[in-house]
Amino acid sequence: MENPIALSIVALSVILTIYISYSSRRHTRTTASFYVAGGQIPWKINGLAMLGDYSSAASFLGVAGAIALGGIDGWWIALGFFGAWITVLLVAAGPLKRSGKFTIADALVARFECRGIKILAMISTIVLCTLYLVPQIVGAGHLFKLLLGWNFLPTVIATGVLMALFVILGGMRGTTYNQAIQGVLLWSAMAALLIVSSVVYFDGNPLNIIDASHEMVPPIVAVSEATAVIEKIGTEDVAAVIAATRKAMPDAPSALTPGVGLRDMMNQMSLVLGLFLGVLGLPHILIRFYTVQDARAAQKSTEFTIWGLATFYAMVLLVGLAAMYLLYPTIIQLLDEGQRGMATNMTVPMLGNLLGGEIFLGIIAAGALAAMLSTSAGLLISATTSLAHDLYAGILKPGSSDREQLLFAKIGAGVLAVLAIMMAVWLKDVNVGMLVGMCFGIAASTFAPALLFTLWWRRLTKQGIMAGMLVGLVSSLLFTFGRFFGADYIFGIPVLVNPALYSVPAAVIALVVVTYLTKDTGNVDDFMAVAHTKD
Amino acid sequence: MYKKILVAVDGYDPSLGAAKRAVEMAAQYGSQVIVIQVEEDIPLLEVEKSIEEASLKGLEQKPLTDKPLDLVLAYGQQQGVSIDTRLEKGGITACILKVTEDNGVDLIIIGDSGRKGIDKWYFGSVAQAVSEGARSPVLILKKGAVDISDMLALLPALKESAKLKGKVAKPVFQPEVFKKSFKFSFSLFVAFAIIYFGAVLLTSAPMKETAATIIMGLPLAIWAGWGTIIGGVVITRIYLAKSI
Repeated sequence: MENPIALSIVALSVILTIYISYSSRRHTRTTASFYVAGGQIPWKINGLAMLGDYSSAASFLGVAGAIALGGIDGWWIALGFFGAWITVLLVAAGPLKRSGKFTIADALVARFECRGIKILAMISTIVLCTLYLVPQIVGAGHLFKLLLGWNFLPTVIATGVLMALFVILGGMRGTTYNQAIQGVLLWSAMAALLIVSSVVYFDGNPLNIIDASHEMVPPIVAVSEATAVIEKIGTEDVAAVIAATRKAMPDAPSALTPGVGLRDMMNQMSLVLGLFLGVLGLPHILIRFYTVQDARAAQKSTEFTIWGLATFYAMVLLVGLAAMYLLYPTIIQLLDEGQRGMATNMTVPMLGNLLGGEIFLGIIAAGALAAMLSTSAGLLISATTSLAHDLYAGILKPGSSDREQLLFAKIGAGVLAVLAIMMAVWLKDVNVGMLVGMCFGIAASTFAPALLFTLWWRRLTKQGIMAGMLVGLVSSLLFTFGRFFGADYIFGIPVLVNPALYSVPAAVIALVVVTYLTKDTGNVDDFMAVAHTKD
Repeated sequence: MYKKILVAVDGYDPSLGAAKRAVEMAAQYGSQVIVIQVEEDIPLLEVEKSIEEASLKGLEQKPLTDKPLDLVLAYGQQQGVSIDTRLEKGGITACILKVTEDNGVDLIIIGDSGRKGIDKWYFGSVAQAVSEGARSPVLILKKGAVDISDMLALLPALKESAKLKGKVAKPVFQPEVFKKSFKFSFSLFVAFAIIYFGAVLLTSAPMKETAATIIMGLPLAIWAGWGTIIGGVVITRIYLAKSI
């Protein structure tokens, strides 16, 4: 076994998570003093849980990794996640909460009782859940590869089994408490990485990391030159490797130069647009805003979360750049050996190992794994519900028993998981943040316009919504898979890092045009009255 | 012997059995009955609630009534017993104990769900927790200990009277409220979008020379990113201050 201490920490954390799932719930039901004493706990827990929900594996592992390989462009993944959260708060959380609907499909159906919309929502949900599982499995697979030293395939299969076990053992029970712990863990780990690396390597001043970044040539640009440098002077002296690489490439971009990861404006726009609107359209993001007792508590918990997210995403840039500096020779060697997936997704655990040994590595791995497991559990539950209720009971066999629906859903979820595992093996070298960004792009093209217009546009018709979702789904999938298959052009249009730049406007145009050609606006008055009446 | 009896109900068999026993004892001793129903008010996600409901109630079993307070009230009136109903929000055990303390209750009657195994570990036993935490005597009734068929016979009449009372008034669409809310949400949304996409432009490949400009020791690209974060926090705070 390669890392016994780190592995023990990870195993303990999984057991603790399942224990908390059960015992915390019993505590709130049967403890006399829990709510009577001050009533202080819920909003803080809620705020932390929102933070934990959001600081996912993509934010934690993917962003810092993307920055460590390509420089400042990778930060846009983080800024996009941050912007998406604010978008949901500003334009969707309030009306959704008032309408009493917590999933997008429910909100759409509340206004339009229509079989076509249900089918499209079901297909989009299943597609998104399956694709969103891929980065979770890729991330977890690399993590176990790092910890155990296994090959990627067996680790991915082991990860799939672990995720299934987690769901069966009640992985979504008591989520709030586990998410709160996860929020604390991921935020503190990020802060600790920044503080320790600053103190030990950058004279205690985090801004010195930025100074050092001017000299660094991003590893994805410098692989061949830096490999030659390492062959000459070895890997011991990181500063010397960085300086010699810069000397060999005086005109190369630095870690702070835009355009390395995202080579032009169109690619950048596509990524940031997909991220900006993506969370609005994710079926497994359950609106946690305002789940506390009163308005003041809701305000406090949301404000708590925004500060947590702001500091987290500000820190991630510095951690990514510090990782580029401190792990420069390691990243170059991994890239040179063709292990790009490991290099881009495991920078944070490797930095932890460098700064705090196996214990720090174990804590970081435990936090990342907890995030991946909880996201996967949420996705599998969303997909299962959709398969059982919408596909089997709604379309294939109306009037079926609960037992039949459950069996169908379990088999369906199993098939989706196998599909996701196969895709994870295929896409193992892609950054998990970029993979999540692609799912955001599909969500931004399907559910996001449908939800936004359903909540705010009285004139919207059911045909309009169907046209928008269909066009958005087809076009975003086309360009996503075009990217996966390495196509440069589709129908003469360049394939970008994210489908959103084409598919979002296409979906919105289809939605608006078809709406003006048709008339069925659904239960618009009843729906709008509930969604927009002040409490 | 007992002046005030408290009974907690949730619409299921054991709790209704407890309520019936409370009414019988009150008739015997001339006591007042406080019937309490607690809606759990905890930060749970919808998915957690739905998973809980399935385990809590068992897939086959549904609550006998969703208005247990009305049912016990009607039963009490039929038996000539004074009933005081309370609908509370919060932690179940905590609320039961608080109402007990506040009202000088001298007997608590509670039904035991008979939950076993992993579900008991997960949900715990409210009956057990109340008996451990209460200063007053507690009478715990097992599931099926009391025949409640006569109480359930009142349900059809209750449903009829609920229908006669009419439906709850639906909210009416108010165009001016909608417009105000639209204007407020979207002006902040557009403001944030300008900051966000402005920063995107500043840090894009064609602007890399501008992005490299050093301002107060840091490149503009970094200021643009931090500016987006600070702008987002400010806009969120404005939204929270005005909308909640």
